[in-house]
Formats: sequence, structure tokens, C-alpha cells
Amino acid sequence: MKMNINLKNRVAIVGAGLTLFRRRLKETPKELAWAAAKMALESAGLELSDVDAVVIGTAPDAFDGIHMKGEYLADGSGGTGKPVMRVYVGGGTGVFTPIAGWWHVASGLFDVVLAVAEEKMSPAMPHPQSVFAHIWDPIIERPIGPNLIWIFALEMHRYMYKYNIKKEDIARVSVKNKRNALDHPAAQLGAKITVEDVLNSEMLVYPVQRLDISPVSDGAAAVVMVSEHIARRITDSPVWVEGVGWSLDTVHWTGRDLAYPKYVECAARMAYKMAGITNPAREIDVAEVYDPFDYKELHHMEGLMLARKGEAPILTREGITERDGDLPINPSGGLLGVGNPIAAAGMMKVTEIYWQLRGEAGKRQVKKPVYTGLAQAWGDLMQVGTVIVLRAG
Amino acid sequence: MSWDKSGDPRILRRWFGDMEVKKHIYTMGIAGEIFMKNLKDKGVITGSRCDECEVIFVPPRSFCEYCFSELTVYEELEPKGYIETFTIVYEDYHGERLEKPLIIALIALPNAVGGIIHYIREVEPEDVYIDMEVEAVLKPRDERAGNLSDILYFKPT
Repeated sequence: MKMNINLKNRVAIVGAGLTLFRRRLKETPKELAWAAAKMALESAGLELSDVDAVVIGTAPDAFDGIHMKGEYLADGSGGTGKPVMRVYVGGGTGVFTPIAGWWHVASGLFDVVLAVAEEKMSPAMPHPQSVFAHIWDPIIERPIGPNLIWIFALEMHRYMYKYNIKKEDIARVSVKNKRNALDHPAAQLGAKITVEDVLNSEMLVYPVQRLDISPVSDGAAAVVMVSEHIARRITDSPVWVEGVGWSLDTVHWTGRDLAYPKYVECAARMAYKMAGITNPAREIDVAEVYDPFDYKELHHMEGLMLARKGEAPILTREGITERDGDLPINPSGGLLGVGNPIAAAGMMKVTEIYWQLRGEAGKRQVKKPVYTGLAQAWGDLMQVGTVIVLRAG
Repeated sequence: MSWDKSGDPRILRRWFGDMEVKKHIYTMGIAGEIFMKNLKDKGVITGSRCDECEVIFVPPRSFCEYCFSELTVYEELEPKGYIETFTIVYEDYHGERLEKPLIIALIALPNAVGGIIHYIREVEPEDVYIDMEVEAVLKPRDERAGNLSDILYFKPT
């Protein structure tokens, strides 16, 4: 470990849990949180009474339709009678939740922390998209009636223009991730599709088509994070948290470089520095990067410095990001394939890296041996980056 | 930067807006479905038991928040209990005086964790007291829909 900061405890992930990702699950949000949290604890061989503190991650209250959703989820997350906090950075929440869990343990305040992320997007009617209608400036942007797909379409178009990227190269991401998801037991949208299927799918908001987008999902995910002396006692294969990073770009999205996610680069640099990583493309063996849209996987690979600017589509075309490639990206199937219950989706990426580094990913296990992995999410008004670097023990 | 105070918003250029989703559709979940179905079909209040912690949760829950066990044992309880605490509402949301004060109580069931918040009727406000025994007045079976208003109110036993 090459920590460049003073920490009380080294932190390990020792258990992970995940529910099915589906639209309109029968369970209530707190029942979903409980299912994931219980699975994570059981996989770590721990009981609720072993847990010192709980961190809950969940995105806008308006999805589940319950204000103060952190408190609402607390019993299902194992928080009764314990120090509990909710963290929330929009879509970045799923990776920010274990980051918050990390500092709970790294600071020396707690030895065993349960980090739980939940989102139930299906209650919002007519569509959870309407929640996003209210994230814009109420006077200069909302009168035009923007929604998230518009904004991604503008960003995607700029990215394609600047680096001369063809739509079929972007479509390959969707093809890969949906195929990967066929092997994920929790997946909502695993499918065998072709580049032509993506290119022929319904045009929604140019250049975004139906098969470029992740679905509306309900789901929950959880990890157990412990200090080193606990980890050594309960497992032979802890997964260490080697680096964490988060960063916020300007909140004026019109003033950002839309072709390059600077927010991810800033977060990644923080995490890499902590983990002692100087050449991420060489040192990261497997990565789960945030892919609510297919082009975002490419965008974020570049921000993470896993590919040079404008070159992530080339790596994808050459098969390098496949599960049997040199740099497997989103072996889980990502948000495009497994599903996108916002906070839970980001945490799902952390659980995937955890299972990959322990060699427990089953049919999804990448071909090459992996020691260092990364999970990344992105959110707020599309300008927050959250990154966690994990290493097999 | 101007710190001049403008007490009248009409002199400013202004926009109207809201921050609401059109509506939400809520579902009751695993334990909640059983609670509502039993209320509708059998006119009973359902709880769920945690043998580990020796408690009954009312309304029922599908997991125990104290030990994290999955709860699968449901108990049908008579719709009666006692007043844990109560309040008397004299004004509505708009500050209008109510014609008849409204008694709202937390009704606890014997040996259960939790309870039901509901109206107390058939008693005058000055006669209600904590620990008073009350029972539910239900809608007739064929009018019950499987929601909390299947219980019209609670009254003294």
C-alpha cells in the first residue's frame, strides 16, 4: 500500500450483496435494502450486532417518493440504534457510499461498517424522467423543457464531433454490455444484440437511440467494510480499498468541456495518487465504469485515463474491453445490461470488482488474472465523479 | 450585490414553477400485502413475529430490524388495543376551526412493537385518556378495499 496520507486503519471489503434489478419489484425500498444488506453480512460471516455504523446511499427522494429516504431506509439497512448517515451525490452516490464507508473505518472511528445503496425508480409517474425535469435552472433552462436524454444527446453529439467517432463504434458498447449481462443473475436487460440492432432501434433524441440507454430499475446493493485487524481475522481474501477519489466540475454544465469528463479525471487522479498508481492503463486490470448510456463508458474510460482522448472507441472495436481482452470494462454487463437503479447501480459496480478480485465472478470472471480493479460513477448535475480503487489481498 | 429589501414580489420579474412528479404509485411490499389482505378478508390486524428477539411487529414487517432475521410467521390479532398516546385537533391545515374536534391516537396492541395511528370516535375529547381500551370499527366486509380506511375509527370498548 502506498498511502500518501495518514490513516488510522487500512480498510477492506469482506462481503457483498445484491438484489435482482427489475422494474416494479414487489418489495418496498426498505425490504430491498434489507435483502442486499443481509446477503452482504452473511457473505462476510458477520451478524448485524457486529456492525458499528451504517452508511446509506440513495439518490433523489422523488424516485421512491419518500422524503428523508435515508431515514426511511435505515431499518432495512441495519441502522437501528447505530450511527447512521446518508450520502447523496446524484448518480455518483453508488460509488460514493463505499467511499463514505471507507472514511468511517479509515478514520479509526469504526471497525465494521455496512454500506447500503438502494433505489426504487418505478413509483414515479408517469416516468422517473419527470424527476429530472427539476434539476435545471428554473428560469433560463426549464422553459425549454429539457430532460436528461436531451442533455446526454447534446454531450454525446459533441463527443462524436470532436473526436470523429462513428455511431457504430459507440453501439459496440451496448452490444458488449448487454451480452455480458446474460451471465449476471441479477440482470434486467441481458441480451444478444448486434450493432445493427442498436443502429436500427427507435431514434429518441438524436443521436440517442433506444438501445443506447439503460433501463428504469428497482434494486439494492451492499458491502461490508472493515478495518485490517478484523479483515485478517475473518477472511483469507480481503479486498483492500487502495484509493478513493471524488470531484465536482463546474455546476454550469454549459461551461464544461462536454467532449471530455474532467470531473472523472480529477476524481481518478485523487484515487490513483492514494493507491500509488502512475500508469492506470497498465496498472488497472479490470474496471467497472459508469455506463447509463453507451457513449458514457467510452467517455469515462478516457476520463479515467484508461484510454487516450477519443481512443476508447478504438479499444472497444479491437475487443480489448471484452471479458477476455487486455482491459475488461464492465464485465458485469454494466448499467446497460444489469440495470440502473441509480445508487444501487453504482454499488453494483463495486460488488462486481469485489467478486472479480476474489475470483468469485463465476461465468463473468475475466480471463486474465486480476489484482487491481476500479469502479466509477458519475452524477449530480452530470458533473460529479466518484472513483474507488480496489486490490486483491 | 444589492441588499435592498423588496417586500413585494410583484415588483420583481418572476417565474412560477413546481418541483413535483405528477404522482407516485406506492406498493405495500411483502409484509404489507399480507396486512392489507387480512384486514380486507378477515377484519383482523396482522403482526409478524421475531422468535429471536421475542417481539411482534404491528403492522407486520418482513425482516427484524434488531437482528436482521427474515420474518415469515404472521399472527392475526383482534383489532383492539389501548391508547398509547393521543392528541386533539382543533384547527385544519388552513387554520379554520373544526366543527368537531378530531381525536387522533396511537393505538398499541398488547405485547406488540408499533401500533396503528387512527381516529378515536364515539367518545368526547374530555373523556379520552391514555391506556383507554379501544376497538376498531370496520367497514362492512363487502365495502372493504384493503387499505387503512377499511378501519373507520377506533372506539372505547
